Amino acid sequence: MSHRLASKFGYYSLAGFAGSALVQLAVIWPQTWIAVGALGVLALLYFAFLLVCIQGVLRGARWAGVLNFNLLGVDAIESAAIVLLFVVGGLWTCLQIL
Amino acid sequence: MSANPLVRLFDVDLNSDRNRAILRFLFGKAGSAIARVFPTRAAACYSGLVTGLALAFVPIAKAAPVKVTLMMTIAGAGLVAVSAHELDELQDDIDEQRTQKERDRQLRLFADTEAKNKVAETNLLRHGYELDKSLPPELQQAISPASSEIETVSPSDRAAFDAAISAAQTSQRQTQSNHSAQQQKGDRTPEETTAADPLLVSARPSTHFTTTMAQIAQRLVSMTVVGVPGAGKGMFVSNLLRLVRQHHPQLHIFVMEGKGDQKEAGYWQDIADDIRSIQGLDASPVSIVAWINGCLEDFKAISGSKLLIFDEVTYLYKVWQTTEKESFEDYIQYKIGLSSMGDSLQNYIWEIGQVSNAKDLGVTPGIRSLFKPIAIVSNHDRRAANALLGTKFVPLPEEGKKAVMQMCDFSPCGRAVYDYVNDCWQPMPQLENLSGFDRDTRSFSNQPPVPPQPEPPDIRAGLERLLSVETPEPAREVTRFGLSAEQIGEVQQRLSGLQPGAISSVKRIRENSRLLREQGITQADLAELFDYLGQTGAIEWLASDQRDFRYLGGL
Repeated sequence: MSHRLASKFGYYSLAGFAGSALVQLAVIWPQTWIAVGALGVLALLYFAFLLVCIQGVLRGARWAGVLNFNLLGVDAIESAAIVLLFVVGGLWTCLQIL
Repeated sequence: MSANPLVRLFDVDLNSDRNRAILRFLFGKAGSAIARVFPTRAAACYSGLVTGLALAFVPIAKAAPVKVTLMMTIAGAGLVAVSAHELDELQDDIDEQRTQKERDRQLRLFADTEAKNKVAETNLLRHGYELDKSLPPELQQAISPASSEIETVSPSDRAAFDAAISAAQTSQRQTQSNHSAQQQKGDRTPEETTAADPLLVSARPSTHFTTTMAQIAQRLVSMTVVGVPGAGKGMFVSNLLRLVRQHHPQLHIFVMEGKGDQKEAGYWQDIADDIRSIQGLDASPVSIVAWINGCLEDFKAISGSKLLIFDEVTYLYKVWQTTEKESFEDYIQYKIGLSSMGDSLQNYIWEIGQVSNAKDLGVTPGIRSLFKPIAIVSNHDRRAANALLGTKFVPLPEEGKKAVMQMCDFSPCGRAVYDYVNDCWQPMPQLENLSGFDRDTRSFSNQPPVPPQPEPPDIRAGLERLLSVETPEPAREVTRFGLSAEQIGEVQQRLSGLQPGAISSVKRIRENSRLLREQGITQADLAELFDYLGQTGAIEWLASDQRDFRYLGGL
């Protein structure tokens, strides 16, 4: 048990709130939808990249070993979780407000 | 403090006067109230976190106006961000405190060990034989400095014994070729030396040290002889070897000599059974290490009682450590084994070098003290003598360095010697120069020196040198920690690629290395190596499960 766990929880929540705040801002100022859309596309590309890399590493591909990104470590899970919570926060806010 | 981790989490002792003072300074009376409400830093952080979550969630769930919702979400997100960051900092502080405590504990342990080593070293140096309880009582009496039995009883018996050996060996030699008989007329054969030495000893000025040499020769131990260049280490050891030969006719004397100077070949000729020589300054480090390894393997292969004379260890050890640390470490282990078991096996090592600093000899002071010390200083080079006397290798007399230098002045050869038997310094008597070359006067002595005989080519050492340089040795596939040199090198390379202070894990190192993966090395296989790295301070474990570590640098 460690304060680090609560801290992580706080950071993940922050990602969700950021997504939520972006959607709320887009409701008030419609131009923001462009940014929301762009971020959504980026998030999708990121997930696709993650999936391809993980597949490459699992198959022992040489190009995957060259990537300076620790796919099997905690970093990948953590960054994926932050992106996911950002998206979930935005979607949930959309459903609640719109 | 409670054993419950949850209670401990909330009761972290961070409710310090300092923090309260900061709050009072910032918020006055309100600060005191805040401090009362949030008695600990952890409580404040968690309160902020919960409040932030509530601020961000509730308006969305209650479908409040968008502007209000947005403001509250941003405020809540800010509060959550600050709280999360503070919790991170709090955990960092706690970890730091814990690490500091552990570091203090390690330092205390280290200091205790060092102190114990120092006490052990001092005891060995001061008491030497007296603490050696393994000696039988009669031998203890015989080697006691106060005892005069050796001087009074043994010479006649020993002279008769030596004469008998000498006669037998001379008759054997006479049956050999006429050519060698002619050579013997002009030369000083080992048999003559052996037979004449007791007379020589008695003819020399009878000093206490002459008796000491007899005692050392009689009761062999592994020892380290140090002295400034030209102090007479070789002369002392070569004379001592003649005495040793009298007491231990069956002893196999194996000389490894790293200078390769023909002028000093006379020290070892006709007394050593094996003489291995290399011109250390001209040979490449790889050749030197291959030569050392070859010699040591040959020495280890000798059965029965044996004595290794390892000359010029200061230079050779330095080259060895730098070039091939693994085999050097093996040798140190062998030395430690000899210091504890060598006596019963009658296996000994005499190291001869110039410095006594344990680091230069590649060992800890504790291990260095396992070998008995002999130190020789000369008044020809007072600066070097003072440097040697400044080390802790040998104790100084109460009067200090000056007393030692005065002993040098009293000595007929201008030298003083410290020996472990009497644990004291004394003037060195004039010993016979068996090399035939006087380094003090840079001239050959009147006595015809032993002709430098061309040394037979050392085929085996040469072959091993070639093998070790040009072809990989299958025997070295598995070196240490159950891993090959290539695998250890791979781990080292992976670690050295990290920034000092970076956090990584054994699993990560293994999975990032294709070589380790392809060779089927598991995390368990790496455990021993990483354990060693942890002990040497290259890495620091973050938890007792020994998975994650912080790289501290140095590789």
